[in-house]
Amino acid sequence: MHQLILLFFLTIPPVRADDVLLCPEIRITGDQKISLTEVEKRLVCGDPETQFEGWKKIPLSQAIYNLKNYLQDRGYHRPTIHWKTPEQPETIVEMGPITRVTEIQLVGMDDTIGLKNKRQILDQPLTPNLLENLENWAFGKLQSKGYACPKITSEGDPETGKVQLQIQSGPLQNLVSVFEEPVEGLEPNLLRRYDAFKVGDRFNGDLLTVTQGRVSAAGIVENTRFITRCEAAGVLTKQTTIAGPPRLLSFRVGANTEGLILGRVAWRNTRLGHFGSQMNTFIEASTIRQTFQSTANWYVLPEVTRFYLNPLAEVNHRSEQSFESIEVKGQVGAATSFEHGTAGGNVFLGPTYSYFHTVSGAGAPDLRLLSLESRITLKTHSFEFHASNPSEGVSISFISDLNSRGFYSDVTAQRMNLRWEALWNLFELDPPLWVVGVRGGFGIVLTDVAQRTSLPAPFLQYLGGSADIRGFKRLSLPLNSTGGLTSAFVGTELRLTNLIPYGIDPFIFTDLGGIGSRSGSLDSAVYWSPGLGIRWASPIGAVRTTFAEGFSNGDAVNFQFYFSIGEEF
Amino acid sequence: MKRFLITTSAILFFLAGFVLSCLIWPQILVNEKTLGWAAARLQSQGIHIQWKNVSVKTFSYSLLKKKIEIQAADLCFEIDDPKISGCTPSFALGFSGSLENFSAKLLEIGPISISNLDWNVLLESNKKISGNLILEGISYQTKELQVPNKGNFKVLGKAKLPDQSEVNLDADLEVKQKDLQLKKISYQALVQYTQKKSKLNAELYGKFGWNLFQAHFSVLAQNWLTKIPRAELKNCDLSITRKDGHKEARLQFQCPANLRVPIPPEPFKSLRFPTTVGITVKTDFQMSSFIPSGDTRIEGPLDVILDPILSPIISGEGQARVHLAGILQDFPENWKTDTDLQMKMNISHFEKLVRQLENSAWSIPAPAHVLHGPFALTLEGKTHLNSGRFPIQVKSELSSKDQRVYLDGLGNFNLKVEKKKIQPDLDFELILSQIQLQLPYLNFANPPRLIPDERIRKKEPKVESASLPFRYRIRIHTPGDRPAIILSNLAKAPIPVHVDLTLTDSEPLKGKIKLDSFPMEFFKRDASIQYLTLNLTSPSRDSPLDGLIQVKYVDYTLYVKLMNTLDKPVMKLISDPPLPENQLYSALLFGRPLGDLDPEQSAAVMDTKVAVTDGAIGLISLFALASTPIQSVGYDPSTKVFSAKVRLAEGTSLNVGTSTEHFKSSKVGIRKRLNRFWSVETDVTHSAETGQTASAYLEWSHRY
Repeated sequence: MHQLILLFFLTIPPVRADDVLLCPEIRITGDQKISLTEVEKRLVCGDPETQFEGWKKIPLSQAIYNLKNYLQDRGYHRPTIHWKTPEQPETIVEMGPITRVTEIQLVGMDDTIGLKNKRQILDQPLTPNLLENLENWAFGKLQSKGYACPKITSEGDPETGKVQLQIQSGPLQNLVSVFEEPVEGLEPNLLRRYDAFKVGDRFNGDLLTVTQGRVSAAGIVENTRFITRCEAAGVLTKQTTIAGPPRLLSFRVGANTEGLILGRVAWRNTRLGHFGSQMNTFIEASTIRQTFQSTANWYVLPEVTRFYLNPLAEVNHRSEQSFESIEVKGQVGAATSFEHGTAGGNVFLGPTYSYFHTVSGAGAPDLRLLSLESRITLKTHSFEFHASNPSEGVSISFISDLNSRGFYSDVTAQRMNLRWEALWNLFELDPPLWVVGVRGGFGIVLTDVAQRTSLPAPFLQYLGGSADIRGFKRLSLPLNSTGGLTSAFVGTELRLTNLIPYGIDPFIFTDLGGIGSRSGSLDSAVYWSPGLGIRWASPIGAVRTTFAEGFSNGDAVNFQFYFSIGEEF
Repeated sequence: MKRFLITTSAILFFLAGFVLSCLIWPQILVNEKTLGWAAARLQSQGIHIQWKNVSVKTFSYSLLKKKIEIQAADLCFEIDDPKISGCTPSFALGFSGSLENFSAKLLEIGPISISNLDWNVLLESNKKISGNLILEGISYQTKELQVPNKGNFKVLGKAKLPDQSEVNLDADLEVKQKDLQLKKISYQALVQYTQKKSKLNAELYGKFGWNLFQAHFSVLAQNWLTKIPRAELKNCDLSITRKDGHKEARLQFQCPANLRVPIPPEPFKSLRFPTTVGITVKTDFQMSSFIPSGDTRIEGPLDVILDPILSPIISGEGQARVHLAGILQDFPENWKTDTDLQMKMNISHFEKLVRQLENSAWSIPAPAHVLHGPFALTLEGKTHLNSGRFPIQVKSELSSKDQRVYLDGLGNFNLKVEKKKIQPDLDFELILSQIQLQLPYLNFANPPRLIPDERIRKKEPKVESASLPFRYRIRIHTPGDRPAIILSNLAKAPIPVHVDLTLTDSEPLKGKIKLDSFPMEFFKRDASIQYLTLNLTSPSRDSPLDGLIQVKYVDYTLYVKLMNTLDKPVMKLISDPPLPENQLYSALLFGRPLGDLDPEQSAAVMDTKVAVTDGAIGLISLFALASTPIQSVGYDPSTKVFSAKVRLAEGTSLNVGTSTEHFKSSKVGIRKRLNRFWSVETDVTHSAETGQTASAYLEWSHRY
């Protein structure tokens, strides 16, 4: 008897929680719930409230036809319809299994676009939107390879999940001309100084995006976009712009990774004269640093070039853990941007007059320096292209200050800092799954002073913080807070990306570094910090948190937590 | 010499005696031995005959008229080519003959009696036909036979064919003295044919003679034809007569038939069509010979009358009269087959049709399902075997409270015979005399999928169509002065639409759809579509588009010129008085001058302009943009992906456009605009001393 009762209960079909009575006459069942939009629901269930008599009620077969279309939009291509009967008062729509993409077949060309490395297509529901995205992705890939105007179509098998991507690549094309919409008050073709591409070279859509980003960052015009058109001779491009008013006044409050609270008042003129010179003045104050700075990019030559003069005046008060200093700085230098192969960069060279006053901590109380300052930055185009979600490319910056006691300086101290960063998209997956980053830095001060405390505090080398060794507080190394004349660090990071929903990327890292109290050599103390963190691609930029243990010569001496917005590896 | 004469006389005397003996005792010539000898001779001809016993009886009517009857028991025969064999327990064959003017004449064959003959025929394809036959009293008298031979004759036969079908024949022939005088023979026959589930029972009786053939018959055919599971011909009359001395004959035939058609598939099943269709076939032919042969010429009318079909919803009737003329062996090429055809179908109450189909898979779709009124289809015309022309008329006067579907259709259905294949051809013009239809509630921001995405479908192997190619050319158009009226929640007033479309078998839908001027809301402004013309081509997405939208502002009038194709419409903004294009985009998208926009809005202006110029915004997306307040616009020219965030209601927003994926940006810092002046911004800076510094700000900024 007990067995019979058990058998009875076992044979009762389980009521599925996802059985939904969509309309009085239509029930939908399936493994997952689907929700229809308001318009879709009206076209399935009718719209009793509408004034249109013809749409108050939807005939059953039409309702089912519409519903099948909406299921197709959601990847359900094999629904089963159990039409209503006198015994069954509802029409039951079994959604059936969702069709997922099992294979992508490329037709029309070989795998130039790297389809085999394309992620987030296989095993995804086969939907019209997926095909749309796949076509768009292939379009962009082909454009980055020089196929300016390809034609792409796709088909999907609703039963097997096989997708066929058909490509008519068209010919490889060069970018033959750029027409720049005139901007009132500026010389024609002035925006060409920001180009990441060269007219006459093979067309690459990514480089147009990089150029747009540079113009936007420079702020010379408010917005710019490229419109491309394919012709037999090649790709013609039109650059359209909204110049916007040239002057910008802004007030800011916020926080940065140096200090907690930050305030800033800035005035900027992005278009001075016909050649697009720029001037930028701001006062900024945080709990650590207070700065007044006025600088300009002065395009002095009577033609459109990348060359400009870069005068600067700055007053800077720093109140670091290791020292407190005031710096007054005046600078006039020559600078130019440049493109070389697949990279672009900027070079600056010029004299700088600085006055340092060390209020407390290591460093000379008062010091004057006339330096020859040079700055070189170099970024590969891929680094710039992926800047919003770093996954590829190399960035290098080098800064040097050369001073001599014999040339209007109180000390002889040559300061050189090299920083570099390289990112690899492991296995070249698209979108990336694993991103490996390696960064490093080397700083050295060559001086003839016997005591490094005779140098201005900013000349001393410190490590620690999210910028180099994350297991320690900002600029807290060396631990004795005396600073050093040599520093070196290297850090690696492995980030898992595009896997966890909501743009959350976990990562692990380890940083290693050392400081030398003498020029050209490191002390025996080795600092390293393993750790882990989470990056969230928030709507206002990357939010990163890290947890790291700081070791000094193998001994754990600190546990550090960092939180930052906008900072990348 | 004498010896020669004596010898010759003796031979002649002997021969004369032999001939005389044969005439007196024909068994001298036809006896068991001579039959055995003949059978042995036939073997060389490939005919093998064996029997156990054979007996020969002779009857003498006069010296020169004899009858011989041969009876054999257990007779078997085998013919080599074609391979026919059989055995019968008893066989009887009689024949009569006479000798006139030294030539033999066969007067009668018969009676022939065969009892229970089991026979086999081996076909070349190694298939075998076997059967059983009983013949009783069959005889055939030649015309010269003066001896009355009256009585009943019976034929019973059965055959099994290779396809397992079986034929049974049971025929009686009655010859009466009276009939013989009138030269008529009455007959009666039952024929039964069985093939698997198919059965045919025919019962016929009648008379035939030298100048007359009459048949009155009924036939019941079951499962004989797939499309007609049961056909019953009841009380059919066939007569072929000729006047004495004339060669020509008259064939008259009348046959009412009830054809049971299968229960039709949907939607006709729901319409409760009668499952039995009644037709009557009538002929009155003149034939050039009494017994039809290949060179017989036939001429006369053939009427096929369809009994009225009265379903609760649809009624129909039809009639065809074919005037046939031709020689039998030339059929159908050189025949005259003039046909008058009339068919009518009426739906007097469309609403009944709607109700009947309501819950079926073929329900009338919205918004037509609320229409009521009459609908009629008429097909009438003339045709013949080589070509035909049937004028078709369609008329509908369907309406509901707010909708009208008044159609007038006129065309020709043509038939041609080319290379023995019938080529149907339809040339039809459908005038949308008065149309007013409602569109469903639609939202441009989130348009529903109206038809399945053709890219996702099971690939069917290409099957050569077995049906005949059907050529058609259908033109659907509105009268020039009376556009169709479309009612939609998207427009402030009815939308007048002129339609002129041509649908053919060889080309995709072509033609023109033109919207006349009507007021609407466009980018939150009172606007009017001045005109919008779509010239449909193949593929439809490449159809040229031409349109003009007028938006009035206080100081100027903005015109949106729509160009290019349906799939990639290009929008050109012009104004009166002329203003810069960016200024017009700003006014259109945000209703403000360019200078009043924040950087994010000006970026939206740029992105929209580029996307529109690239043709990346579909017409639906364009109107979606125009119908809701825009929050932001993004466009990635490298992938031609356009996306816009529009505000649906307070606190809710929706992404529209070709993709909702994030866009690539080469900017490190990100600015999120809160309103025109306030924004949240993140930034990263590098310095020699401290490396990179990341900042997050709440910023007030003002460009001037």
